Parts: sequence; structure tokens; C-alpha cells
Amino acid sequence: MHMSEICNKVKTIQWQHFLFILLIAAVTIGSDGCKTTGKLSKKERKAQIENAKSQLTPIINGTSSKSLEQQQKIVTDIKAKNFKDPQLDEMISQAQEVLKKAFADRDMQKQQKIDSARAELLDMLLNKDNKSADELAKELAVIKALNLGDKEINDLIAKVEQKIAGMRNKPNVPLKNQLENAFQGIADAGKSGNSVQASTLIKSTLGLFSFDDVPVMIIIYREGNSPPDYDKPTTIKRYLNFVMDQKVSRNAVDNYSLDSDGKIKELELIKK
Amino acid sequence: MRTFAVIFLFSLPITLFCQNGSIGDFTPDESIFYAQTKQVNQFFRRFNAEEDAKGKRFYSKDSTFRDLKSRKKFLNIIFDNSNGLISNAEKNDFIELVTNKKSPVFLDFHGNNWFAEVTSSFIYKKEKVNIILYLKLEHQNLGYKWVFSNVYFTNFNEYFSHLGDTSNLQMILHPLSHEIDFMNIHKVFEDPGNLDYYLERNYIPDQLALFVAEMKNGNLKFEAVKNVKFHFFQVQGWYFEVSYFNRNEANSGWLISNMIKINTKDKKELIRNYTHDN
Amino acid sequence: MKKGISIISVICFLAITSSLFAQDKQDNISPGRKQAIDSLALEKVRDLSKYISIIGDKKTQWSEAQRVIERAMELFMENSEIGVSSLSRPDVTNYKIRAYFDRLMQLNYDRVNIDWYKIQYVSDLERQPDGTYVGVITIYQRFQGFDKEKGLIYEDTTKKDITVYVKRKETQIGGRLIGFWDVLLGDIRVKETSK
Repeated sequence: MHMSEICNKVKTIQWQHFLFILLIAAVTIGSDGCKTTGKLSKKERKAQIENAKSQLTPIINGTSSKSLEQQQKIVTDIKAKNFKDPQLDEMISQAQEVLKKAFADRDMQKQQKIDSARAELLDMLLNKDNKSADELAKELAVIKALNLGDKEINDLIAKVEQKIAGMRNKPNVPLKNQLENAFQGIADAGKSGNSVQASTLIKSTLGLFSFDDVPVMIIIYREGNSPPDYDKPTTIKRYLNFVMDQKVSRNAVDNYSLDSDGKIKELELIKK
Repeated sequence: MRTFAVIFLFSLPITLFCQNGSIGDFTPDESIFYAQTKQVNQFFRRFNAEEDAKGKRFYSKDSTFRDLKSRKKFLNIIFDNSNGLISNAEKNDFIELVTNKKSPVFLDFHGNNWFAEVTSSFIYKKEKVNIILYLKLEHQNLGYKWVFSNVYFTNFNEYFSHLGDTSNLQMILHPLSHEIDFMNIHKVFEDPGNLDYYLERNYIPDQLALFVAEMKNGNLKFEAVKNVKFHFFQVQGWYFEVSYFNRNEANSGWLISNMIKINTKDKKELIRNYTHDN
Repeated sequence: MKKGISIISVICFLAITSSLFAQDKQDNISPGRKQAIDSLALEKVRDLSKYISIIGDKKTQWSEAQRVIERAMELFMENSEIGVSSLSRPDVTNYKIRAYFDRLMQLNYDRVNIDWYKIQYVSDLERQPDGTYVGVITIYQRFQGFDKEKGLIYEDTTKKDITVYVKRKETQIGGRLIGFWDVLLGDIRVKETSK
């Protein structure tokens, strides 16, 4: 649509359409990059002031659906136009007041959310209620969805994620698998000649046992219902060192019994 | 020889090789080790077809246990091929006999009539000597053990070089010596070198007794084992010897190194070498 | 720790006292069980070969080698020996196992390669008069000694015939009677194979 056509139409259309068309024209001017006149006509100025007022009203009433940042921009833009209309100026200052308060409210709310998220995250790290990795992950997802954008919270989230990953690798894994993984790890460390890693693994694995000399029995054969045949019994410490030296984990966990502290006091292995 | 090993290994049913990966994994040297009869125990098992080509044991309930076809193949590889002493005809006769469908012959570890011959070096009166020790398995309590059944030492043999010498007319105790309370007997002992002229003609010297005495008196000191072989009398009408062949070819390890057809009388005589009291 | 030691000593004591009792029941061993015992014996031989490789490895530190020698010694019956012969020296020379390990550790090469062939042969288990089972396991080893400048300076392949003693024993652990097979290695005959 060209400017001339618009002008013709202005003459013929009814007044109630004026504002609407003016708006379109303004947009079209902008988009077409046509020349603008330096000074607004009286009518135009009035229309713009009206428009500004209609924009400010929902902001003042707190009914705007736009974000606070968008509302702030509208107010700033209108103010910049400097219409010098006392009523409009009054509305602008009212809107500014409203927004200032809204921003403060929002900051307060966010701080509250951050505070409660921090508390929750710290709880999760301690996991006093012994929640499972899955439960923790679910709670963490809720906090992450808040998108608080706070550095401290993000750091805490990372820590909890680490904890969950750690739990998935350890306590939640059955003891049998934990032991077998440890055996394999020790064998692999032995194989790659990494004696420091092997020793660390041996030390941490021994932590699962009542004491270093917990008896370890290795089933070599089982026939029907008769009691199994074993290799010569050994102790867990000797067995772990043996796995490191032999660089291979040849036995799976068949059975174990725990002491009152939940540590292994007897272990039965079986040839893989 | 390597080709022989490969042919042999492949000629047995494919299923025999299904346990530990493919035979193609073997280096050439390993195929030799597989073909080699590594232990006397393996000689027994191969003779009887009680294991597969890779040495995995069969049990009496297995269908392959003592399988006739495998036996014939195994029996063919447990002879020392470099040996000209054993003719093919003899070898075939022997294999035919032991694989006879109606009355096959198996070797029995606990079945007596086989002996170990251990050549060892000793120090005898400051001199390094070789002594042959003969051993056999003996049952005791819950199990078995190897015991000395005889020894052979040339020096001991020389003590009896005049044994049964009927050409000697001088060195004798006359037939009426008893009437004079054998007062002439001191003459015998004044010349101990000829003491053996005075022994019973059919006396069989007990070298083992001499050996024990010399060891206990400290005249003999053991040095080292030099060689080991075995003598088998478990197949009726035959004697064979099993020796170790340390060579880089499939036909190596414990193999039949000598074999002869023998009658019962010869057999008894031969066994007398290995065990004095037979 | 004290608790642990006492348990182990109890195991040992019971093992000794009950060993004779246990033997007669094991006269007829089923093939499955026999195989399991064979595998157990083979495993001990494999354990030994790993230890030999560690002890012979020039990268193994002295203290570490000593520790491994101790572990390797535990595989053996007391007073076990290694009887060695080579192509150039056919007479068998016997060494005490520990002396053999010490020699292996101190070999004068810059680098040593010890490889084990995949093949192994397990004899039948025969009983000796006291009821202990005895077997022999044959394995083959390739040894290579290297000099920094001259490269490979020594190489041999040896056949090792290893005595294995297997004894049925019983012990009490946690109030339960455990029947186990005590496998110990004995004398080893080491023969250089022909090239």
C-alpha cells in the first residue's frame, strides 16, 4: 500500500477507524523507510498521546500481560517522546512507581526462591532421609526448572548432580556388583601397571569388610545338592592382592554375610 | 614333520577342536607341542585313545573313550620314526594286535609289568660313574609309589666276572673239605679277587643289595639323573621300550624306541634285568 | 586384626586335623569334579607363570619382586626344587625354588621377555600312599634376554613339568564345615627344548 492511497482513504473512512489506520500508517512508514515530517500535526500528536495513555493504563493497573522488562521499556519509550502532556506525565510517573515496586517484589520473590532452593539443595547433599538417586534426581529437576540463574545455586546443582552420579555408581548398585567391579578394577589396574590405583582400590574395597582378614572361600565345583567344593580358603586382603598380581579377576561373588554394621564378614566366590 | 603334525591334528574329527578356539591360532611351534607326546601319561592315554588330539581327557562314559579309529591314528604316531630297528611290518602286527576288535590290549598304569630305567651319575671311589636304576610302581595303603626293583652297575658286574666259569679247575674247594672242617677255606679269602670262582654256578648276583650297601657305607654318592626310559611287558608276545625324543618336530616326546616279539621264556628272562627277584 | 589372625590359625589347625578324615570319602571322583580339580591345579600353575613373569621383569622393583617371590613361594610344598637341564648341559641340576626365583630376579640382561605358550597338558591325578593326589602339568615357556646394545643375546624355549599335589581337606568357617581342595605345587622339571 502506498502513501497516496492511504491519504485518499483517510478522507473517505469514518473517524472511528482513524486511530487504527494511523497505526498501520505509522508501521508502514517505518517499514517503507519513507520520509517523516519533523513535526507532528496536532491530530497526530493527540492520537499518539491517547495511544500512550492506553498503553500505560494496564501497566498502572497491574493488568499488563507483558514482562516487567517489556513494561519498563514501554514507559521509557513514552517518556522519551516527551509529549509534555500533564496527564500523560502523571501517568508515566504512576507507571514508574508501579514498576519499581513490581521489580522489588520480583527480586524479593526470586531471593526467596533462591533461599529455599539453596536449603533444599544442601539437604539433598546431606541426604539425611536416605533418598535414592532417582528421588534426588526428581527433586533436582524441579529446582533446575526454576531457572534461577544464580551462580551459587548452579554450583550447588552441579554438586548434587555429582552426588547422584556417585550414588548410581556405588551404594545403589548391589554389593555383589560393587565387589565384582572392584575386583575387575584392581585386575585392570594391575594389568596396566598402575600400582597406585590398584592400592587405592584395594584400600577402598577393604572398607566394605569387617576387617582385612575376613575369610574368602572360592567355590570350584558344585554337584547337585551336595555341598560345594572349595579352593583353599583365603582372606579378603590376600585375595585382593592376588587379583592385582594375577591381573585378572577369575571369580564372581556367589554369597556373602554382613555384620551388624552392614560390613561383609564372610565372602563366597565362585569360578566364573 | 610339521606338515605331519598338521595332517594328524586335522585328520581327527573336527569336533575335537571346538573347546578352546580355532586350531588356526596355533603358531607352528605350538602345533609341534600339541603333536608331541609330552608326558608318559600322554603316551598311555594316546595308546589307549583316552584323550583328544589336544590332550583333553576322555572319561569312560564318553563315546570317544578308547575309540578304535582314534586308537589306530594315535598308535601310528607313538613310534619313533627315525628308528630303523622297528620294521613297518612289525609295527603293523603290533597295532593289529592291540586294536583287535574282540580282545583289544590297553596299557594299564597300575597293571605292573612296566619298569622305569633311570641312568644316573654317581661318584664311586672318587670316580664319576653311571649306574642304571630300575624302578617299578608298587601299591601301598591308599595309593602307589615308585620303588627300586634293581640296579645295574658295571663295577658290580665285574665282581662276578668268573661266575659260572667251568674252565677253572684250580680255584675250588675240594669235595672233602667238609671232613677237615673247611680248614682250607682261608685260601679262598686270601685272594678276594677270585672269590667269585667259588660261587654257585646259577647264582644271580643281587646288585640292588650291593648298591644299598655301598650307598650306606658312603662309597657311592649320587650326582644327577642323566636319562630316563621305560620298558613295557603288558602286551603279550611283545616287549617295547619308550624313550624321550627332544627334537623340534611333531614326532617327538615319549615314543616307542625299540620293540621286539618275545616268547614267555624270553620275557621272563628280560624282566629279570629289571627286577632281581623275578 | 587379631580376630582375623585367630580365624586363619583356626582354619589351618582344623585343616590339618581333618585332612586324613576327609580322604577316604573321595575315592571315586566324578568326571565333573575331576575337571574342576584339574582346572584348579592348572590355575595354580598359571598363577605361578604370572609370578615368574613379574619376578623376571626388569621393570619390577626389588621390594616388589621380593613380595611376589613370597607369594609365589606360598604356592609350593616345602622343599620343592627345580631340576634344570639344557641342550648344552643335559645333566639335571636341582635348585631350591627360592634360589631359582632369586636367580631369575638377578639375571644380567637389560630386558627380559617371558612368554608362555597357550598349550598345557594335565596328567591324570594318581594317589600316593597317604591318599594325596599327585599330577603333573606340562607347560612351555619362551625366554628372551636382551642387551641394550647387542639386542637379543639369549633365547630358549623350555618345557616345564610341574608336580601338583591335591589334597582334600575340611575346615570350619562361620560354624559351617567347608570341604576344600588344597593344591600345592611341587618339584618342577625344566627341560630346554630342541631348536
